[in-house]
Amino acid sequence: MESAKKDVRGSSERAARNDEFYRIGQVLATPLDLGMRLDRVLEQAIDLLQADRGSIMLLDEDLEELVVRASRGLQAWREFRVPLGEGIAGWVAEHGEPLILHDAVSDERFRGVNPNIKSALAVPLRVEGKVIGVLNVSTTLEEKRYDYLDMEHLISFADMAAAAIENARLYDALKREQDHLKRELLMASRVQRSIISTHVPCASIRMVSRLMPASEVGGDFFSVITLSRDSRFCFYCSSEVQDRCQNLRSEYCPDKFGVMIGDVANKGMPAALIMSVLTTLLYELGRHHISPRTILNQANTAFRRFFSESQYGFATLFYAFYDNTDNTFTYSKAGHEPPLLLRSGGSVEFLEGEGFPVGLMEDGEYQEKTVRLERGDRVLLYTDGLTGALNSKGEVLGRKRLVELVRTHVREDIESFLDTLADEIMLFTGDAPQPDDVAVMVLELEDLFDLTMTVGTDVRQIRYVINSVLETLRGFEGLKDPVTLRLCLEELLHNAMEHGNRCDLSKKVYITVKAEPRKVVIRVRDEGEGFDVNSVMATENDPTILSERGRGLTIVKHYASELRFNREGNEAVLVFTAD
Amino acid sequence: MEITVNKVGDMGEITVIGVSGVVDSETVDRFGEAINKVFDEGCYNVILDIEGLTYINTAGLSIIADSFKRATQNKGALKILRAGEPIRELLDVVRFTKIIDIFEDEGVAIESFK
Repeated sequence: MESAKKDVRGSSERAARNDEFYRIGQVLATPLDLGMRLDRVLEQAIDLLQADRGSIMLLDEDLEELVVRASRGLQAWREFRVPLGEGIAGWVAEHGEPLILHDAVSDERFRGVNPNIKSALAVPLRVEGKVIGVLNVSTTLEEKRYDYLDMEHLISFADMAAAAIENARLYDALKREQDHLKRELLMASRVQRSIISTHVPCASIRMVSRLMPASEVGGDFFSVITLSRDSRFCFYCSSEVQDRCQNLRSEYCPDKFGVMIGDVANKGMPAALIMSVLTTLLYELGRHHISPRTILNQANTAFRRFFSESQYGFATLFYAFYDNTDNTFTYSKAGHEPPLLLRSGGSVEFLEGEGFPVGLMEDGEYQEKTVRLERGDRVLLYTDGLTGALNSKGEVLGRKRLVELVRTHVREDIESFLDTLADEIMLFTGDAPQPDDVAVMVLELEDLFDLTMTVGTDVRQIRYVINSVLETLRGFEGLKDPVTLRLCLEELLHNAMEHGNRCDLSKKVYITVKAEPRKVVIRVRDEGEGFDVNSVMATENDPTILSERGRGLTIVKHYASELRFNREGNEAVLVFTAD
Repeated sequence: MEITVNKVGDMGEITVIGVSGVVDSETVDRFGEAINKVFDEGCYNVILDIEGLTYINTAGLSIIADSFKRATQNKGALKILRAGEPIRELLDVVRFTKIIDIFEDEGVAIESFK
């Protein structure tokens, strides 16, 4: 009889145990979100004990308080806090022992407890012997009285539940930490980008650049530094178009500026920190020294002084002065990838030069070389992330492929040249993860324009612009009739003012005209935010003839030999060729 | 831009609007106003004589399109007379020639309203 009874009890215990496992499974099936986990634990505990209310309180160790983090049927308990040692839960948490309560109301320790509660259980939530909180359940049913068996069930459930809660809690803390770190990185990335200056202080040089760090911040950098502000006008400006320097891009006209690109031998945050020190150094050195070689020597010494104790060793650098009084490009190289000089005639050469990376040797053995740029020449500066780009087979892009790509696309406008180059690199790498930061910068000594104009956003200026352009191109054989050009130009000017600058009177529209013997290139640039070029260019004729939509572009596409936009969509390039 | 307005037809029920010179951003509003005035006076049979028109911008083309619509909606018609080669090409590009009748001879154009 006795043993039979044991069996019954044994099997019901097994069933209860299975039940607890099932319930903990339900808890673990919730996402690793603390709030959701607590709700699910409580829900399962209430169900397990057929209770009608309950709560979970977690211990705030710093304040030595229990805080209600989940509750059922106890709406008023939200945000409720109990000092350790006070009340039922406070007692359980302090002693790490469970409690069964009948007639809780009459117990002196538990003042303030809901008088309807007939029976209650409070068990500690423990992780590795340490109390992290208290699980409370209670019932208002008259006939319900919790016993030791109930308590044992709740304790074994609570032990498993505590682990699940702790996991979520750790995850929660980790996530918060991570979000914080992410925000900091984002800020750091912004700060880093703001260090980089790409404003070219000379109207005869165009520059485009791209910085693609492998992580939020990186060690690659480039910058343009104004070196001197000479009141003399440069070679370019002295040729009748002085207003261009003054109106188009800058208020002053320096005769010399510095260009630098570099790569700190490290990635992420340490590299970014070194990069910011190095950039500051180079800015300052640029203002006080007259040659790139001296600057590299000084940078080398300073770098060794600052970072000799650290493991973060060295940086490669390319530093050049561009002098626009005679178009000379004087450079010094510190172990950096040699930039490419793309001559307007089509030849490609590497700007080689000896010299160790900055910070590596006491004497960097830097050399200095000078090349003279001709109109239409380009210089492609880059970091080794470009030539070191990996494809899925593990092959690097290499200098040979780079030269091929450059040759193929060098005829394109400088902006689309860089865009296409970036696209080609992405095509090469595919999905292969890129290990290194990439910085690319293209400079072009621009051809002289036959006409440059800057006008305000005012449709009354359109006729003036068109007449000036027609005057410039009088007798040009690439235009069948002036109507054609007039239509296209009027359309683009309208677009620039209305859609680009959105009729903002403070914004300007820039027009340049370049006429070659059998080709005319007209650029219209506005100061708007641009538009989605692809979607506009793909616009087919509206099926309804009388609708205004797309009519202007249809006309331009029909008459011009070529119409293209820069990627930002704020510059239209109109080409007419004599056929 | 010069604009002339003449009533023709047996009972003067057709209006010939002659436009010459340049319709561009500075003159386009006057061009639109001239056509609308004819409509507002109740005449929806309009011949646009563009023999002397040397240039018209897209806004001007939109006015032609809107006027064609307005004339047709009021049981009238808008027709074009004597389009020079460059303008004719432009009307082709924007496909107006598919829906708007173009005549070389004024008599034939007037006749077409009967």
